Amino acid sequence: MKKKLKILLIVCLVLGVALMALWGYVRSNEGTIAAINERISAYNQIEAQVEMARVLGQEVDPTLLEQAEEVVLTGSEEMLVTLNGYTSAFLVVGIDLLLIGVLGFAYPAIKKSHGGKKGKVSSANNIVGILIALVVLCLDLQLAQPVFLTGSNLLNVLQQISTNFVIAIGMTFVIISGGIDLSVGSNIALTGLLMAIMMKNWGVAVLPTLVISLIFAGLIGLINGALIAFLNLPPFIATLGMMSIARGAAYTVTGGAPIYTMPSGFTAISSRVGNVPLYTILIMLAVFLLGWYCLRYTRVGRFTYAIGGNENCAKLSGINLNKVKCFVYVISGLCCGVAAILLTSRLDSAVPTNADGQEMDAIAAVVIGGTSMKGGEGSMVGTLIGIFIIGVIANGLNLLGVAQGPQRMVKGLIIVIAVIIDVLRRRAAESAN
Amino acid sequence: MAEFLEMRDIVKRFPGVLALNHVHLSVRKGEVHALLGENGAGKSTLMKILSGAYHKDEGEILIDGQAVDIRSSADAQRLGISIIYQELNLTEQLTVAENIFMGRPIMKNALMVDWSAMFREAQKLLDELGVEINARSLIRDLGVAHKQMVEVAKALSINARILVMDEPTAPLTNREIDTLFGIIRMLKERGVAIIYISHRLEEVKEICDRATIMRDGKNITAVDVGDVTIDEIIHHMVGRELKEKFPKIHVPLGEELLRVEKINAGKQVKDVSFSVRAGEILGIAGLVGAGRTETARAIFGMDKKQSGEIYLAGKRVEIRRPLDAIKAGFGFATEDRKDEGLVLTMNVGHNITLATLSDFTRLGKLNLRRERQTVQDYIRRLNIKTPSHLQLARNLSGGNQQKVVLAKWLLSRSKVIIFDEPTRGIDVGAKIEVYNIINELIRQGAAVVMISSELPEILGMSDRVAVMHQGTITGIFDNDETLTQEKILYYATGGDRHTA
Repeated sequence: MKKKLKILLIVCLVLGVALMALWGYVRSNEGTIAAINERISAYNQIEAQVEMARVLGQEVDPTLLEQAEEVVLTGSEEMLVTLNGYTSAFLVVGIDLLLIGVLGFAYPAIKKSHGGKKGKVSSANNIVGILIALVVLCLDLQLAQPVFLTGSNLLNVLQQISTNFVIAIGMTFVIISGGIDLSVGSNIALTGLLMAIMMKNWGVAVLPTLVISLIFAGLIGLINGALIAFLNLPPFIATLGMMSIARGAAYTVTGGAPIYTMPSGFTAISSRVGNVPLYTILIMLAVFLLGWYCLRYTRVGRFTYAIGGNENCAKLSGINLNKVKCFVYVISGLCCGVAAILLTSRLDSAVPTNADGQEMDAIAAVVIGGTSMKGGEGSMVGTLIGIFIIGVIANGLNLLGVAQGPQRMVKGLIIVIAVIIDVLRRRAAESAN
Repeated sequence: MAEFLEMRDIVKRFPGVLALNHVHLSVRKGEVHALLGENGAGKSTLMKILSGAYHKDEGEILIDGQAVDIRSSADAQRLGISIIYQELNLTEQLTVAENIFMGRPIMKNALMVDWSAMFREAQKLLDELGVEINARSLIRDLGVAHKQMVEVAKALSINARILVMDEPTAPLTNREIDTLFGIIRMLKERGVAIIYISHRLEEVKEICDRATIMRDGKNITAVDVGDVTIDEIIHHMVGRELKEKFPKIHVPLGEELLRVEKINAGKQVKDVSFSVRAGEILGIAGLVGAGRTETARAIFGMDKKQSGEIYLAGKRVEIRRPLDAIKAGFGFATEDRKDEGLVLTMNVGHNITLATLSDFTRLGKLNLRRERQTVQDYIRRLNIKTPSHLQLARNLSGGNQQKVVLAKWLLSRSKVIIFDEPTRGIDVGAKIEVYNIINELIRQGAAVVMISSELPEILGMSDRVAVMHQGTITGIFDNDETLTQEKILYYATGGDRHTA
């Protein structure tokens, strides 16, 4: 193991122990803190009474003034009070650092005990890594906010991530093929509005609406794919254009106004059966299984990896690049259609601003899941874990009462970190050659 | 004479592999020292340690008797170590001068580059080398030989005392090789210590003074090149006697399988016609830029043909894209494995089946079990050295990567297979294996077109030889005693047009 890494791990362990000790120290002085708090609140109460009397123009009760000795905290007391505000943070960060340290030292040993099979290259290592990250994240949240691991909160998480879940599956195809789809959020908004208009304004029944909307969303994907495949536009540009066009169209069709109250047959999709959003979960599961199967067990799935890894070689091997490229963007579009159904039915409304910035979450989930932004590498299972990581973080920040602004900052940070990990991993793999 | 560079007891470990096991290398001033060994013997690792790309785990490096610590390429440059890699390290969009002074431009003052001085200095270096390159031309406009000269000029500009050349002659024509050797001799006279890595042993005999031979990460021996024969060197490299360099077999020729008539494509392919029979190997010789690869690409549908027809077993086939060619029964093992032959991010198994996936598909579902069995079968048959079929292609050595490419086309049961430089950059042992695979193909009645720049290979393996020059075929000959390297060269440089 590298020396620097060792030092880092030791620092982690030491810091972890220190934080845990701090936490223990504060907890063991709970009595003192309670006493201090009592004194402070007593003083505050008296002060409030005095103030009230002053405002009302009454005489101040002299006995009160006598009692009102200002609370003077000693240095150590002050420190205790300050620390008390951060106990849960100490606990969470301390445990994490300890975990990192222990796992870091245990990893080489585990590797060795598995025979250290040389050259066994698979994405499994990766997936274990992000799975550990997810578990640790859940543990942290549970420690910080015990509401987290309750059935109803977890069901909430599932429903909250449903939109991102579905489009991240499609995005996995796109990114493995070496592309990117920035238009997913706008596609959802526009398709959602289309559904609302069809059902509310044109009186189309629910089932045909769903079918037509899916086709519509797929068509948007097809346009992306065609621009990229036949005109050789860079995926970033083609889908950036589509992102703006579809969002603009969404504003235009209703003049920016939202459409409320969908037919009950439609909202039933996201209804709960005995507190469980059963249909939503079934749809998510179905989309995931389809995506996983397609990527692993079909030719076009294999070709997606091939064109992402090396277009020249793929072409030379007789793969129709244009077809595969169109396919991945159509898949992404179809996923947007499904996501639009889930989202519109859950919100019971279609708004042009729906799913704004959704592409960021989807890309983040895919990248965190270990899919390379350069294409050619990645897996559906990784994306699944990535989706949960993003979802759990968002839920946790909500539970902890973090505002939307900082939440977006955190998300951005996570994407950057995920890409940094991807880059470092790639560099390590290349230099090992 | 004292050793100028000494690498002593160098040990380098990679996870699970001992890449270098107490390796020694010593080179004198003014010496051309060959570093020989099969692919994977540890030559590149040793050179990467010298250049600062890797750091050694044990051992010491002495330059001029002084122990040095090389931790980065900047360290190496400061010590006067310069490496010319096989994949040249130049920026295509910049000028020759900019490339020569990359990273250390000549400045007028703190802010402004002194362009005229830079072009002047660069031109001076190039003129010293005696090559006709304008310092103001863009790298992308230069041929590969001239690009190499730019690398040499760059090495001179940093006053390189130690120059490593990795397979410098691989992309060069014979005449260009002569020029290069002239320059190497000049550098020798100046006292530069040159480490020369090559698989072409004839050249090693010609240009090198001593040779260090490596095998499996260990030193086998260091010899004076004059004292040993090529066979002895090969013996040291592979650790076994190679009975025959070219295991040529003759099988009864069958019907005409491929006929190409008057193909025109781009500027590089003009009225090319030839035919190949079942069980026959047609060698295509020619200098770099003669249009051989372009002809193959046109036949395979990679590039557009302006005119011309292709007949397979007497029937005209329409090939507009590679898929048509594969369906018709063509296979094409390209020259550039990394760019066209393999998907490096995919595993070995997936690479092998990439062109034949439909054979493993039933009702739209891939039969992964059958795919795995087939792939493992081919890995065994072709002796592909990989821990498993799940290994990523990028982690294989050059020879094994080439075998993966061949497995892909073997699996597609192609009737006509075009090999473009099938043994470039792979080691002696793997070369023999590649030849045996080609033999296996013709034994099964395939027709083989083999493009190669190595004349011994052309003469050693072909039944007939077509020679190309500037996009046209200048001659097609039966490969008998009357066909010599000289004759091929004569036609490769224009043939009868010399006299015309």
